[in-house]
Amino acid sequence: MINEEQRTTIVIVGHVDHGKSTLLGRLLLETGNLPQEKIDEIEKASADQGRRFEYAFLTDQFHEERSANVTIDTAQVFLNLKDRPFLIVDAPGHKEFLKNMISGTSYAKNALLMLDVKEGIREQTERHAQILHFMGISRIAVVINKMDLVDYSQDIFKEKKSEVEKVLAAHHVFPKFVIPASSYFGENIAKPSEKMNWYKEATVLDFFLGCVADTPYSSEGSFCFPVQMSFGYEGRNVALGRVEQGRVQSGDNVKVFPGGQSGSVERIVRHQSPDAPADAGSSIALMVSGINTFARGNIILSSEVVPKPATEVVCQLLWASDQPLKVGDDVIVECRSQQSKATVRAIGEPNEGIKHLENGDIQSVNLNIQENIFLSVPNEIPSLSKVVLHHNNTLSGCAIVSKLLVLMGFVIGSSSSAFAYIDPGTGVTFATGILGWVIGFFTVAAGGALFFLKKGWGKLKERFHSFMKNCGF
Amino acid sequence: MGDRLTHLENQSIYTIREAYANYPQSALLWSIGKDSTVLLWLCLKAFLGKLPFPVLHIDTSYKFKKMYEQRDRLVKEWGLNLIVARNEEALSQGMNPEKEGRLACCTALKTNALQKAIDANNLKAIILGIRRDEHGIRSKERVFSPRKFNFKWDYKNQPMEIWEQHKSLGEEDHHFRIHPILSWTEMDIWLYTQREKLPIVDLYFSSEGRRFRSIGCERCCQPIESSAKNLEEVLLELKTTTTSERAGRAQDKESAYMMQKLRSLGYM
Repeated sequence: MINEEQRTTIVIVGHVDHGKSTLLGRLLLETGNLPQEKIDEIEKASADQGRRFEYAFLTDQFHEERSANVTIDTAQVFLNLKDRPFLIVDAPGHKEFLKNMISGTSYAKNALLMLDVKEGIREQTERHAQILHFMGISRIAVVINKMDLVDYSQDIFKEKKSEVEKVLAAHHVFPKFVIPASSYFGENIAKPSEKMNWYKEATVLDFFLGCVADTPYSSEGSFCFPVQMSFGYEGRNVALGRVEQGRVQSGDNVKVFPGGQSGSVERIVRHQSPDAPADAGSSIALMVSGINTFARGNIILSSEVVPKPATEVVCQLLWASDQPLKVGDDVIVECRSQQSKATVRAIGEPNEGIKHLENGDIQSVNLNIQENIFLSVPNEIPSLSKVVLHHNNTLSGCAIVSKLLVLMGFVIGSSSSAFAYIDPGTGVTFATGILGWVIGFFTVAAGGALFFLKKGWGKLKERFHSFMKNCGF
Repeated sequence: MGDRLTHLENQSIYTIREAYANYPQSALLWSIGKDSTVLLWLCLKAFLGKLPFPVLHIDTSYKFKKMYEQRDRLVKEWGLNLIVARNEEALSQGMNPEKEGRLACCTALKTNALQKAIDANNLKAIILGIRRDEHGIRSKERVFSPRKFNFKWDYKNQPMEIWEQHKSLGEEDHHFRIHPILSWTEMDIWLYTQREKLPIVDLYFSSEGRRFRSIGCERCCQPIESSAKNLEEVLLELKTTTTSERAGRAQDKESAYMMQKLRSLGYM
């Protein structure tokens, strides 16, 4: 029988020219995933350039990629390994193509980090390791490649292995395997290497076969349904969208935000299908009794959920644009169908004094969000914790919300205004807009008093010092 | 959750709705082939059986007769708003693949006809059924892929796309090519066609020992040797085949990098 099981996505990352495309090409060949005519085409294209058989040409399809021997854009390749469907993402290693590399990592849970044994750890090796951690990709194997260049030496491998493990640990990356290999010659790719019989652990193929299949959605947790658009159906308006979390069935009580209007699900509409419950991941239409108006950006939630307003958020941001992001910049924040203007309030911790982010930087960023949108944190509603930032009309960064701050005090004086935000978990985190700082002081003091009641004097003193520093004292 | 096909279906419907919600001036490009017919079905599902945008057929005049019959039958059955786009000017001058070569013919009768239709209907988004596993060049595509005013695909500088969020149309962009079934494979298309009992032109099935694996213009398509007479047999054949899907499509391989040239000019 032909299987219909879920795919397993694996992304291949690493510094430029450390052998990512070659590894994938070799694996395709050795696992019978290559039609003969493709092999012929590569033979010819390689010969045309006066080169040996270039496995990398299988995914490096652009003329510019082949002549310069570099992957420009991510290629996504589908293959079957032992009758299981896989999607392998061959990402570029150049810093200038970082946005392309990130585009390939969206939903992967598994990664292969490639390293040239002679070059060791390079700039993009570390950057890609940071990005894997940022994306929550935790099942990782490191390939120490081009072992043929060091005569398959066990000593050199051992040395590189401990060096790599140390550096990766600093980026919170803990590989399941570190595999000595030669992509070009197929050593430890699809079968164990005879030349390195001192290595007894997994080959690249073994690692792939042990990877976990994609599970993009969870029906656990409370129901969450961002509305993509309103659509006329049988004289009514229904909400088109996808269940991002939880499940829904007719009769369920829901609320529509913003506004908080409540109603109960009358019918789950699908084309030519009877009304039936919908699990997370289902693209459906909702007919809600008592509600006939929906708009793009509305979020429908199960009625017991009380959403926090997302005016001031702290997130981990991965910036991927040639144009730097500066404190004070205006951006557009987007999360599923919700959009809002936002301002960058701060980058990094107050004492770090970071003023801007460059391509490839990952930092904690505070955003002030103008519209009434609904965000969450990863352990509550994961898909509402993932936001992207548009800057100068370009999708330039992606971020994961780590905290939603609650507005504690807001004072408007004749010539000034001040406000303080509190993180309900840890206390005053952020205060700004202090022009007439006397008024500001009282506002912050109010927040501080509350914090004192919650956490005591020592912590307050600590917070106060960092706050004063932030204000420039 | 569930199986792969259900997941792909949900994901594609999400993309189709994103396309239309952001760009009401959309149209679906339908070639009557297996992929765009699956895509058409997904569009119908996305909008509960009532397609809110037109279906665009780029007619080179050289398609198989059976494709025209299938088109007209389904337009009626599914209540589609069909726009037929033909480059009459090039056709009246006798454009054909033998005359000036396939690059010129595909560019005139497909790419240019599409461009004219986009402008004439003021379209901001074209929804089309290309797939990453069809061709190496297509494996690099984005789901939301902008085209500039000269219609060119700036493949060396594609925008970032993550978590199904994408760039919005900027002043420098002319329109979006939106690819909802980009991550489906040939096998997925056939499995889904079977599961949903979709109508399919019988050129895909064996007659006198040969069938078409990919169809387009009659003159530029070569059938493959095959005994697969129905969907089940096609699926079994695909499991063991060692040739690629578009092996019979002449325009892909007239010269090296032909597909790259075609696509950079605005070809599908």
